[in-house]
Amino acid sequence: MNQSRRKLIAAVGAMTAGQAFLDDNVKADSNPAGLVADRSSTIRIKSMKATPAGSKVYLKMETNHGITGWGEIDQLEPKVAAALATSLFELLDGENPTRIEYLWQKLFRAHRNIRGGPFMIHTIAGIDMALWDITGKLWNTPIYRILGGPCRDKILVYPSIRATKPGAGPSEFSGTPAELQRFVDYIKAERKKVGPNGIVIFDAHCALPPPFLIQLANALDPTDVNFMEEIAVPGNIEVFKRIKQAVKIPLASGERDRTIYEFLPYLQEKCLDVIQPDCAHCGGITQMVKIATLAELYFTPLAPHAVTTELGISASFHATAVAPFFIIHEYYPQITPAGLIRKSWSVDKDGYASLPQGPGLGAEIDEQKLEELAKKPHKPEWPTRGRLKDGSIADY
Amino acid sequence: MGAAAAGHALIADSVSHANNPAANVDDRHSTIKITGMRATWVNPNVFLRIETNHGIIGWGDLKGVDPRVSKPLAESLFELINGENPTRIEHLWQKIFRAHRDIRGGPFLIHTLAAIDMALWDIAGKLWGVPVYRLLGGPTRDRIRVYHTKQAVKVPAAPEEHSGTPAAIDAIVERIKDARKKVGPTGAVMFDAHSAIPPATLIQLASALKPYDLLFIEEPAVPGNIEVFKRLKQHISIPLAAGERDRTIYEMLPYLLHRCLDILQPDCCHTGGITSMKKIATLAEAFFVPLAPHCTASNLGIAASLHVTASIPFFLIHEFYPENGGFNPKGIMRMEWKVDADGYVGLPNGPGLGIDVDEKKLEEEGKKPQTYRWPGRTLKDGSIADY
Repeated sequence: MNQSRRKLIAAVGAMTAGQAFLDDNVKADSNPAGLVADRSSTIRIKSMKATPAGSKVYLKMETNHGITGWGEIDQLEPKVAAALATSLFELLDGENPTRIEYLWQKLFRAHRNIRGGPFMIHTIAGIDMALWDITGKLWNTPIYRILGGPCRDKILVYPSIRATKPGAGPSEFSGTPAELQRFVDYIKAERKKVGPNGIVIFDAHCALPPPFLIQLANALDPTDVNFMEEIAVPGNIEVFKRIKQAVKIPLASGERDRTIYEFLPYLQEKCLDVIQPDCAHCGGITQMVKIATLAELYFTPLAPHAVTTELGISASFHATAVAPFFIIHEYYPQITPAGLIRKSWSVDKDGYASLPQGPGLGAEIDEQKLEELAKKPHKPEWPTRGRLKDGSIADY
Repeated sequence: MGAAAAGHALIADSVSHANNPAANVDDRHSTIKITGMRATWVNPNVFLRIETNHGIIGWGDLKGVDPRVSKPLAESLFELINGENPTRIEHLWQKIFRAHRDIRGGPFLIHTLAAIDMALWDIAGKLWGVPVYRLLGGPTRDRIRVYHTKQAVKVPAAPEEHSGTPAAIDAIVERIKDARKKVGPTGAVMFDAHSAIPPATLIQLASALKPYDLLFIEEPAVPGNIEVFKRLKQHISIPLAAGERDRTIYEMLPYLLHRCLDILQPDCCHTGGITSMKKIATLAEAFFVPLAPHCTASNLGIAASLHVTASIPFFLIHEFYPENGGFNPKGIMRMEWKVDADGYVGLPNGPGLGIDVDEKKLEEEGKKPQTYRWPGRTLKDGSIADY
């Protein structure tokens, strides 16, 4: 055999042997590094407790690594919401809580006939908050860091001395001059209060039916209000189109619209200038971030709606911190029962809230206080809207 | 003048309530009041029994949602109808729908409202001694075309991947071919895509299905974004049908307005009851779109849907599974259906919805422990199927 052939055979042999050696090394069962499970891959949901207290339901989600996450279910009949959350637990039990997008879809797509709607989406929102809380705590970071980092270092809130929101109650279908004047005077007084550097939002609350709303909008001066909120009941985008044609004041809505699917028509049909997702209503942090992305596409800023405790507000703040386009955030401190929640942010004298510290949501629940509150009897409210002059029920 | 004025005063006096005994007579229709409601869970339904002071009972079929949640919801909503006149059906529908501004629509509220609504119609029909279709302005037909029969079959689908291989497409085409053979050239073959075939795959499939003259493709996409339906309508010339998961007139309108569906498929128990279904039929009538109601209810829910169907102008065919024990638990809701040789069922009985309820069986079964599990499907890569 000549030198080159020997060399060739030897080389091939070496290559083959080398390949075999390599295969052996990178195969999972022979490579110790490949087998190392870390806390992120081995964390599992092991329990969830839904506690109705007052008009809210507080979700406590526990894991095998001793990390606990909290979520808030808002604006539902609490007993029914707690029953739903408890029922949905079978879909979360034993799952990795950092798989937030996967679990959101698992819940949303679980039952084809129970797709969307207030009960499902508000409950999923509460669960979503708890999953993010756990994930942030697992990696010892505030949630906004896992969402791509903050776009702002503080969040403008209202009400404050420089931002106010006058509102409306159920009204007839058409306004008399007296009724219109009453609203105009009310709004102008609020503008005077906050001054030319302040923000005035008029909350029509869907309570001024389209004819009345159009009359009022046309009776105001362009700078009286920054925008009008909830100008029509959600349900038919055609109504919003009709109003948009007739009114020159910027329009806002969204507190009762859930998931990206319900927000898209407002943007696509060019009906709103400001969108107002409510973290606890639209589907949690996961959905609120997606909605903010859609809004970014349409150059439409967020003015998030919120009537949650500081737990739900904290969740909304994390999503708001990473939203590219944002105006102002609703916040009522009096909604949080005294002593229940320890938040990691505060509001300064100019009406700006600092970002939550984390880790996770950055809001701690006093469990003893929660137990106390849960014991208090609470009559669920089915408010049924005010009556109009003819006895029929107002829609808003 | 004096006489005329005096005469006028006499008449005014006569007809005023205070002086006219006839005007003061309360009849059964003005004095009937709701006095109680019982919700009984027998998988997969919650049956509602609404009682009145005149001894008339109305029944509602609450289905399609988790009973652990819908039963307490129904019980919680009762305070809104307690003491009300049950014949004020439109008023009570609005009262419940508008009750809580954040709980507007959605599966739980609307399926529960649907059950209450049909129970109210049941009471009204019984009060006046007529089948419900009479109160709806009907009947507009003397028999109702149904499937499945010898003349009409619907082929189902299972969740598919986002794009179909020739093998996957062929498998479905084979089943359609078999169905066509079974019913022959005068029969109807429908295909239920069940939202399980993603748009890209459905477009491929529709081309392959053209030769078989399908009556319609049902649920071509998941509800939620009308733009998807618009996209499919551009590429598919087989009639498209949907609506089983769209609730109230508000959710049905976009399909009609954007010309995305040829056939509308409200489910009485899902869409908001008889009141809602009748309004949807009116909307559809304006767009010349016939109804092919979806129905996987017990005989009670079937009856409610058929009463509406009997009273509407444009109707194609009705889904009909009275023999299905899964949909009709323990034979509690009883109705004698007569399906003729052409595949049509006779109109439902009265008075009211015309249902005969085995209350003893209902009570017995209601006492047994009931269980419920959430379904859900996955694709090949482990992700959750959307359908």
